[in-house]
Amino acid sequence: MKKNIAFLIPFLIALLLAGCGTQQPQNAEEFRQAIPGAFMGKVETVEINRSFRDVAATWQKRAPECLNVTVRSTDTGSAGAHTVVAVYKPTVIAGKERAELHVQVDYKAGVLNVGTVPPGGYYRLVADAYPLEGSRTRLQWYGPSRGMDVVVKAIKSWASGENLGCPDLTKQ
Amino acid sequence: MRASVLLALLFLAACDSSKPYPDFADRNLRIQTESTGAKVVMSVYGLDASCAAEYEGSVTLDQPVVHLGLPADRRSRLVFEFRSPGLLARTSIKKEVELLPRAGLRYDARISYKDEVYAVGLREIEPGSGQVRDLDPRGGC
Repeated sequence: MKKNIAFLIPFLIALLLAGCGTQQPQNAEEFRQAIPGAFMGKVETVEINRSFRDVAATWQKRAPECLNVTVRSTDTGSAGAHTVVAVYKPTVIAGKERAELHVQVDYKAGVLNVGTVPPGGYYRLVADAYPLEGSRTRLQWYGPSRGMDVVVKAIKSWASGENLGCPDLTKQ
Repeated sequence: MRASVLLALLFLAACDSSKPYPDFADRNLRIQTESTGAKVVMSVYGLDASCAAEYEGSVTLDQPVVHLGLPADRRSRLVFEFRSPGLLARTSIKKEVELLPRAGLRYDARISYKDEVYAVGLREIEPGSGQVRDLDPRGGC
């Protein structure tokens, strides 16, 4: 039973974001608007004791290196083998007043896509950084309350500069 | 029963196409590994001018420090695989880096896996001056 539920998580998150007949978010702004009202949606804001410029530069360096990943998961249960192939795509947009990090996931196999899949895949997480006074940065992220924990942890760690390692995306 | 276990082991051995990486006299690469919760295996591929890769062997990084040799003046691809138990089964994630070792220089790799976060760092060291340079792990291929 545990196995079956685990395999359904990506599908459930996509379904919950879609809502009852609602269109999937097709861009980062639509995702920001959809998440607060979505079941299992989460918005968190934290302040980082590091300059906005450094946060943006770290995201620009680490996100392409760590989040351009294809994860293949295979469950060999009693009903046979079931494989999910998820292609992660990060995008970083660094402006003067805001830096954005978008994470999209394109399910190439094993998941029934719900609604219109935006180019690059479903939006799974959007993180924004804003400059604050005193070389501090406000970090706000939008995403599911479960299922992207290692990515959220990595994005926060990159922002604070405490750990520049890559998240093990097989642990989602 | 014993026969079936033996057959299964033989089958698994046949499926595992990895081979030990050869030991070179000039061990120009030092690999420092710190891993909690994952077994780390490094595979080495030689790259030719057209970026075609040829598998040369694998090393299990189960010691804090491992020394080995990479051919100088030829690009190598190092594939670090972090294998760990997952929710459903064993999972693994791979990180590829490329390195073009220069003759006479030493190389340092720092590998870590902890709390579901992994890191691979590469440095080039000039033995004479002690000068250290961080290398961009993304290669030209």
